[in-house]
Amino acid sequence: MIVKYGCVTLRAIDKKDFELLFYLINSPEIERDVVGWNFPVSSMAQKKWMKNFKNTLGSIKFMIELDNKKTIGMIMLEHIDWKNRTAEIGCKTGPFLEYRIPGDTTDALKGMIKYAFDELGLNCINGVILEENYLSRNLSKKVGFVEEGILRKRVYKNGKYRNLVSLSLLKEEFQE
Amino acid sequence: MGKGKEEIVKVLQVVKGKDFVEDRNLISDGFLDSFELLKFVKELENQFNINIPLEHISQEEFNSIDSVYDIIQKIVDDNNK
Repeated sequence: MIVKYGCVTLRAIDKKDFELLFYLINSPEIERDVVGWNFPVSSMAQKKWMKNFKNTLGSIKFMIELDNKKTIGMIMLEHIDWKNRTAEIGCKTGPFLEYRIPGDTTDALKGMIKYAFDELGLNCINGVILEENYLSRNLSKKVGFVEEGILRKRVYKNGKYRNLVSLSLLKEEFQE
Repeated sequence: MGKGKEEIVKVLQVVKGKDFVEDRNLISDGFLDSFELLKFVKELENQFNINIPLEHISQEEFNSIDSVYDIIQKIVDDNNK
């Protein structure tokens, strides 16, 4: 099912998302601020990935579509652990001011978290953010995540080892 | 504060709709969120009649009025070469 929350709809990845996903995975400006990394991805590889992609019990990816029908990014739950009822959340959005709506990423995060707690029955959503990524840290805290600690020099990026901040949000703490 | 920096603060206040306290950082202290940062960039481009390339729109470079001023100055200087 799709997820509606505030000004966003979280929906499945579709063929029409090729250009956005191709941009998100190859953009140096996006990769600068996220924990993960990729070798350059060709259009052939991206098309093949999309052709074979499906959500699974261990990993769920949704596109973030706004009320104005523009798609601004992707949000995901990874490493879903059904015994301990945990999952790791991640999100990537593009710098598209002309499409964006104030509070859209807040709604996307809250929508995914509500889906995780109320539909999947999870109990704890966790994540890691680069220590210098204050935009994401501030957004996460606004949604209710608690910073648990620092993972020291865990990621090598732009010539330096960088710290990660570990965060989590429990079901009982989540306020819609 | 120089004229250029004052203009930047004015743009910031229009984007945010409230006064900016000078000893705060724009990003790390939470004055701007991601939407407001993009809007700030767009308004700066209009105000200074420049194009700010994506590679300059980093949280580090937009964390203070001084660093934003440096970016704008560099772009203006490059355009005048």
